[in-house]
Amino acid sequence: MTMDSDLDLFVLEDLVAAIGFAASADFVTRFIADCDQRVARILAAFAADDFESLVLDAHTLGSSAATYGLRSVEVLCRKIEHSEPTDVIEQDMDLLSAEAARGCAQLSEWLEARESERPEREESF
Amino acid sequence: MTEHKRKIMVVDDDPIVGQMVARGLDQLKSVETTYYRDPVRALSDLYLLRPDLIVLDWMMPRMDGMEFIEKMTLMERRYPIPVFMLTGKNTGQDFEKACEAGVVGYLTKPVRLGVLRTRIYNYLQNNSQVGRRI
Repeated sequence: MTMDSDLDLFVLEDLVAAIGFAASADFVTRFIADCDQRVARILAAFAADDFESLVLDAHTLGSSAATYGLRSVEVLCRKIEHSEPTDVIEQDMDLLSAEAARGCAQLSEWLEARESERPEREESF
Repeated sequence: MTEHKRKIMVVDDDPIVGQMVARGLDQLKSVETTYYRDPVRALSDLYLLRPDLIVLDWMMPRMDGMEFIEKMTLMERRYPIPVFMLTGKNTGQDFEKACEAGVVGYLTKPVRLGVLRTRIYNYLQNNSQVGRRI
């Protein structure tokens, strides 16, 4: 990893050990593709003062972010999830957007690095 | 002799986590998993699928994990289906509430597939009657 990373590599390597790199890469790629939409849903819920949706979407993103090693996104989501409605502010949304983008970039970088280490003949899961 | 396969239903509104869990559990010998994104649909398919064990998320839209267990218990009074709760809720109170609802296992996210698989394997090994009720 070249950038300052807080990816939980233990979580990612645990995933690879459990289902193999090919399947793990597939799920990580899907998560990266989906993350933007999840953040967009949270921002929309915040803009609409829909706190119930905000909490549920933050909970879901927090859990999947943790599952794919994005600790900082998980922490932000948990903070939003456990806040009182009036305590969630614009700045939380900005921070979440930025951390999610940064985390997904780190995940892409991890995938690329891990792919280049993979033996050519490793069988797909 | 045909090998008896234990059926595991995985219910999680997040397909990127739920399908990953199902895929990880499918690697267990003699296990077949079916993934459901929608808990309401999962509940309505209970009689059709007749799972031997359910891996259940807690916070889901339309029906949360606790409501799922409540409704399932009413449907399956004679043969309650064991539930492993897999959730991001991680306080002592959450755990107590889940235990009171009768879950046989409680694991918090992030999902550690290896740990989940071992826990479920051990549970099935130690509860040989599970999956032999038909």
